[in-house]
Amino acid sequence: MEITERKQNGINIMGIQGRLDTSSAPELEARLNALLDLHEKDYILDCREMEYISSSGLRVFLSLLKRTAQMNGKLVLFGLSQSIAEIFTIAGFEKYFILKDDEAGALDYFQ
Amino acid sequence: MSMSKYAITLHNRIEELRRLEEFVNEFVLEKRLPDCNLFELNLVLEEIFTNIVFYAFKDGEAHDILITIEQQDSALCIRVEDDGMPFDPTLREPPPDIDKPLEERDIGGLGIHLVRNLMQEVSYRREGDRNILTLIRKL
Repeated sequence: MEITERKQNGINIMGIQGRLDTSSAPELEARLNALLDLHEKDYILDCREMEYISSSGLRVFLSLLKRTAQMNGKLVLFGLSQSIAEIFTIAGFEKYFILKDDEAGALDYFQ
Repeated sequence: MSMSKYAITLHNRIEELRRLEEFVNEFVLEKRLPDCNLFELNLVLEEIFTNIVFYAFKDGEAHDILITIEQQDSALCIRVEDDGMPFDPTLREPPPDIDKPLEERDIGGLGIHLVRNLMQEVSYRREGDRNILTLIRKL
């Protein structure tokens, strides 16, 4: 897994590339926790190049969503592959998360 | 003629996920199965394997986890075997309540929920000092 980061209009835009599995999830979680501890509350996760997710990765997303909600922040995901979108549905996540097709759609949500 | 049964022995360490992934990739490629099988088999085996690594052993020793995949007509039959404590993942109740509001939604319990939903059959038995989990996926 690779993580890319940039900031735009106060929003943390993070790209997740590759596999978000039990081996890599702690790295993403640590990075997010570091940002959350700095009271960063708004996030866009670019999932276009995320190839795979397991329950470990889903847990990181759910815990990020809970923490941003507590801070009245926002979390938007975009570019989920069809396979990953199906896993979100099975997990019952599609009703908690804001999912957009592309970055423009994700940014609009913050307007 | 290509082999119909594939087997791998993994140690009870999370680092072995890499070898598990390679094993699944090779199987799916060899059998020319559609891509969705690659994702879902990887996911199911990762969940089962990590569950065993995290919960089955308390002795701090190295153990082997044996995984076999066999194609039988229009189904995949997966068998996962370990010599850990008796542990039936099909009994991990209750399943996560996916209808709960976010504030009440538990962070755990997702792995076995995904496995149950991606496989048509999941069954457990204890044979001597071994846990044997059998999973069937229709193709």
